[in-house]
Amino acid sequence: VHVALTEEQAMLVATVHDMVAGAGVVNPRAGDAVDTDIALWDALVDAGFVGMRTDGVSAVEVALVAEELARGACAVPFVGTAIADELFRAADAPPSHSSALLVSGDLLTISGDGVAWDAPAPQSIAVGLDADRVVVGESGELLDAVDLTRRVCGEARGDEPVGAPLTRAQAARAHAFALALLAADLVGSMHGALDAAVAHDKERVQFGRPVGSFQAVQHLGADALVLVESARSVMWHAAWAVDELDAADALLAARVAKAYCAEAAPRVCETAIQMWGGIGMTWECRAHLFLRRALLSRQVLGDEHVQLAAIAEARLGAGVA
Amino acid sequence: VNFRDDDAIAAFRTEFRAWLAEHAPADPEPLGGSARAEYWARWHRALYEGGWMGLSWPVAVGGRGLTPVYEAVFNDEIGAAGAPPAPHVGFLGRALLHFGTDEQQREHLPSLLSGEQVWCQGFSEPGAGSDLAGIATRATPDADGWRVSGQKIWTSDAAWADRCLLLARTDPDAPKHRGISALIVDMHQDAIEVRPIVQINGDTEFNEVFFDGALVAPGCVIGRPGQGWEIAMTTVGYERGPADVGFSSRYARALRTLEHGARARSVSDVEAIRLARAYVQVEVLRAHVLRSLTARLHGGAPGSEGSIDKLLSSTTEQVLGHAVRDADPRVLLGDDPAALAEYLYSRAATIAGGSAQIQRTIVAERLLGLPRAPS
Repeated sequence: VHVALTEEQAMLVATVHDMVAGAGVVNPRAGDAVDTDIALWDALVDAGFVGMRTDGVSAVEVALVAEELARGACAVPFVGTAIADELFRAADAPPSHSSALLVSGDLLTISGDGVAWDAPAPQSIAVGLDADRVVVGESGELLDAVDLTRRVCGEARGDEPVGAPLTRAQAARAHAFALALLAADLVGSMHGALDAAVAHDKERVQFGRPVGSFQAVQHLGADALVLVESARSVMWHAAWAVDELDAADALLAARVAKAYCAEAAPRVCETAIQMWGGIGMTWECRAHLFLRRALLSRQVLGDEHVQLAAIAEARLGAGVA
Repeated sequence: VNFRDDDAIAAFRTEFRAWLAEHAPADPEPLGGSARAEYWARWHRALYEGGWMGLSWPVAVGGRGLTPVYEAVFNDEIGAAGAPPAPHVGFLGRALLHFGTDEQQREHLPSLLSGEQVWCQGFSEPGAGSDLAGIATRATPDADGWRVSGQKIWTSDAAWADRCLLLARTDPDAPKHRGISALIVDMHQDAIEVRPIVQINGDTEFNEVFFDGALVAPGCVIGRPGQGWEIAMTTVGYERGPADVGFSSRYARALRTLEHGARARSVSDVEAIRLARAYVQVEVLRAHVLRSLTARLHGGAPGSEGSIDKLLSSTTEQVLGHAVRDADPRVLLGDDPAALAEYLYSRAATIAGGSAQIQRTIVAERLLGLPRAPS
């Protein structure tokens, strides 16, 4: 048991953090989404952070990169691509290193028919599941989705099966990987939102002192930090479990993390808007980018309600009426 | 990031699990009073004789010299076995471990670990709760050592304690945080009176303790006179650790009991979701505690991050408390006094050991770096 980043993992996080800081994410014009940050994406590809799993890297490392990119509200299709590549890997098919995840129209399941989430571009490749087969297809046009930092395209259909059918265990493990990465994305979003709000409250003066010195404000931030740090701990556990526990236990660990992060992230992002005050309600303030991103990551493959129902089933089995 | 038991921890886990199967008491914990104290003493003694107390304590003082992570494994297994929770001796002894002389450590730590000597914590006073540094209990030097006069409150186990780790003001002229000393007080003297406080759950765990010129021997100051605040803060740092005070084992046991009950009958969707929520909360705490204990390997005594653990632990206790309360409406009709008592007790989680409001201020100012509130 050593629940801390290894030296290599800490370096990985620092490297991605520097790349993100250099990328200088900017707010889109009012009403627009952020353009995909091609320069950052290319840098991530060059650094070998896209398609890491092919090189035998553990899910923890992938989750750490996902978290850091979300913390910077980066407009790169990292999570969708990583999950798509995980499906290719399970099917023993070559990875694409740039594709959307094909999910059902209600966003709840990886599917062969629905929408393409985290799409690199309109009409991009989307990778999903049709029963036990990994399927590939194209997506349609860009939707006007809530998340401004990542794209969702409609009318996605996976017509072409690739590789071998997945066993139940393989499918469960890929599902666990997907949930762990979404949890990591949620942790990053809430951390990014909180950091920015805290920085603001150190400077903003009312009643002759920084608003962050008022306990009513301090305690909002403190509760948010408890959620961020505990969410990170359980996300680490889920990411670790993907490669280390049997498939059913890995999936349960991932559901626990997704349930917790799905509930915590929007709450923290909403708290951050409150901590900003009126500025937090403006398009110009980055607070809404984190909230919008968290709303979709919460919903994709099931929010806390969906996860809790599945956890109850796993823990209590036939006992549930 | 690695949550897997290494071979040594796995062997420890297996061995402790087997021991618990044989030695964990089958009879339920009596509600309140000296019967409960005796039940606890027997359990503590059994654990000690089994070699399970003081896992992360140095061998020289009767511990096992293992890493802090073993404390989490110990708690996990107790909870999974449904055994009585781990005795919460750990955090008081830490004061001696960090600040005591060799002689004090040799004299007190082995008997604290064995349960032979029961300790209580004389910190809070009627006028000094959250503002702990405002304590008024005085210790004045005299020919025999020190004389203590004043009043403590919320003192767990004082009715049967042998020793008290007492905070007293030894320098009334110094600034309030600097005039405090930490003393070891023998509780068996006439100048000390203990009055139990009946709590909202009918239990009498807490007490008021009155000192009227109680004697403290000269060698019983821990650290330097005036160092009491630092010693107290180190102690409460450990008190905030869910595995250090055995809370993790209590939560794991409560969850296990709830889930066993639910599997035995058909439960509604609403109840199933409530239990799933409790499971999530316990799992989150478990992962977070392992992270905190790993950090302690490198960082020594727990710091301000402990306030995150404390807030998370309190939330977990209260989520479980609600689940226990709501598991069966007949709890409200007197069918399960232990369940009702457990729920009511859970309200203390955000008050005792530094209120949730105090913890939030620590998190805000020391971890988020927000400007200090003017005092």
